[in-house]
Amino acid sequence: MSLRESLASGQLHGYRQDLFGMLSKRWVFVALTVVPALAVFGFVNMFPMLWALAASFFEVGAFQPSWTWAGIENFETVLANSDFWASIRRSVIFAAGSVVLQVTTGTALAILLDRKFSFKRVIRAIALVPYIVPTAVLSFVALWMGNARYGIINQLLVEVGLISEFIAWYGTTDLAMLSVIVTSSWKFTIFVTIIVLARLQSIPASIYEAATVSGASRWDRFKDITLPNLKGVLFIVVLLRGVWMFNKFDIIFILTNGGPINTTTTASIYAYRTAFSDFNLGEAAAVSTLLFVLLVGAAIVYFYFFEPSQEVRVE
Amino acid sequence: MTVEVKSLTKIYQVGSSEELAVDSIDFEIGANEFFTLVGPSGCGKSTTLRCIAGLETPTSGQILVDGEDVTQTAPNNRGLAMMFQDIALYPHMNVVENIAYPLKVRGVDKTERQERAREVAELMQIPELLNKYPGELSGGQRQRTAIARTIVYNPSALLMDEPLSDLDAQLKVEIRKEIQRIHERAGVPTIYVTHDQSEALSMSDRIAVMNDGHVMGIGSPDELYESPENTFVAAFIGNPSINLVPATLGDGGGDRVTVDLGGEATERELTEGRPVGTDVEVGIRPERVDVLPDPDAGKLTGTLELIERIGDRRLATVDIDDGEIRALNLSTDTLAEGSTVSVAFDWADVHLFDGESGEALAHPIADVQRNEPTESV
Repeated sequence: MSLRESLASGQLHGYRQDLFGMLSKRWVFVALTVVPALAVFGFVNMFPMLWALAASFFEVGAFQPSWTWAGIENFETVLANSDFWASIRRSVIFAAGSVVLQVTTGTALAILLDRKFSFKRVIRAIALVPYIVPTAVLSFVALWMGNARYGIINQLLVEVGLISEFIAWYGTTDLAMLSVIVTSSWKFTIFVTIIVLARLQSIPASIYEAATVSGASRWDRFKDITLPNLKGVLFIVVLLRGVWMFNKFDIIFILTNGGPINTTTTASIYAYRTAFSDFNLGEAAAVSTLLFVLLVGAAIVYFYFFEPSQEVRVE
Repeated sequence: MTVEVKSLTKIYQVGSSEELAVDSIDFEIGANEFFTLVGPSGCGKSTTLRCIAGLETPTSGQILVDGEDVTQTAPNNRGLAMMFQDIALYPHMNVVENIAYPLKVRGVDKTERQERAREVAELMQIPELLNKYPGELSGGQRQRTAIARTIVYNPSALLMDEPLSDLDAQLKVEIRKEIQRIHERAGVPTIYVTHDQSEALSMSDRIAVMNDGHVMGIGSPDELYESPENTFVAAFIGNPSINLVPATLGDGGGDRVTVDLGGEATERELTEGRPVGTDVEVGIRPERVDVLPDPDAGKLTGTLELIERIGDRRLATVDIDDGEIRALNLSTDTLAEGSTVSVAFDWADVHLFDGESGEALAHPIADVQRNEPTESV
């Protein structure tokens, strides 16, 4: 019997009825939508987190399978180590610098893209490229662009006359952190742009027009309409970018490997080194656990002080 | 304060083609005049208003406010006020901040602008809403807030772009009154855009009827209703719409002609001469047409197609040979749909339009002249 015939006879209709009936059951629906995501989350996120949490209370060597109970010894060692605190400080600098740069340039780019002008699509596409390209690829491109001998950035800056000689952007202690911040922002700015642009486009044009006719200048409109409307979304963007940049590992690891002379060894690089150079897995787990606690604490403070429920006004 | 629009033209670039939205229109709005631009959607009325506001740049032509050319002036420096169809309150500001915003951008200090916003809110009967946000207001309250916001800074003219079209009928009437009250009080020209002819008729001192980027007719509501310049204005103004029945000019020709309709003829004087045999349209308002149960009693015979109730009146649609006739005067309550009836009207009540150009050739004869024996031949 063909599909058409089945439909005509109403037989298929019966099967569909049963299918819809089953899917409409609450527990079936919940299971189908939530369980897969939960399973992945549990396997990829929760399990390693709990594993690390457990490991932080043991002495775990890389070459011996047995764990030895150590209590809070790992934490004591880590907290007493000035290298750990220095790495935290670098994470904060890296996160704060990246967030400021990404949010300001990202918002500016969004405001630009919100206007009508020619080549808008081209610019949007170009801005999206670094975000789509894998971090490793982008990092190597950045490394070559900033290369002290052949780098195009050096070439351009010398030609323009901003610098007099080639600079090892990622290899100079004074500049490495700044260079890493700029490179990471190059990649992630468009994230801010995409979210801010979505919000900008949801602001009705008539609100701007009403303000314009009633005497508001371009600056007034930006300050009194655009910015207040962006508050809520910027709150979320700063939070997300802050957390992600604080934990950033890959781009820094590839660009500088934490160097030169540890100037870019952020907390996550420090944790990696503890685990895979010093082979002290227990201590590395303690570092990770401390980072987790620190971020949760920071997020709570952030939410407490900025009261997003008031800022994120949904009409 | 006056507003003048001089040969205003606006052409939009749509892809590679050009779209003429407004085609060289002229009008002048006097001090304290309530002026309405009315027409079907896409007729260019909103574009005209937006050009006056400065939100659109005219392709050519001039906008004069109080005799001063503001065509090149930025919209925020024109000193006008505008109300929008979607009200456009600032969702992140409460009512008092919304009302006071035009004062804020003018650099008025905080206590004074709060004071003035409060006064205007009082005037609009919304003083208790000052600390609420637009999302918490009803439709009528939002409208009142929006009106308050437009008058708080004494603008030189009020522009309104279909501000009532999203309201329910009852609220419409209420806010309509408010707008007129505010217009009186502000003492400045108001330019009001609507697609609703009844709104235009009830509110305006003068109306410009627009179609396809042109002004088809301009005048007071009475003028447009009594002596429309062409069939478009005649058909657009008045609800139910005017009846237009084709006819041919008979004897005479020139200024004085006879019109044959349904075997009867009348002699009329034309504003412009037309030769014998010219196709014309006879226009007659449904208010002036009677439906009679006797098929032979009236001027035209037809089938009573439909009786509809419009408010307290009944509208009859009668099918005749050359189309249909709408009539509001039903001689008896017993008329049945489907029966053969006749329609009657007074020759003095008819308009004549040129069949081709739609231009008006004759208007109803004023009541004072009615008794003179000019009627049927």
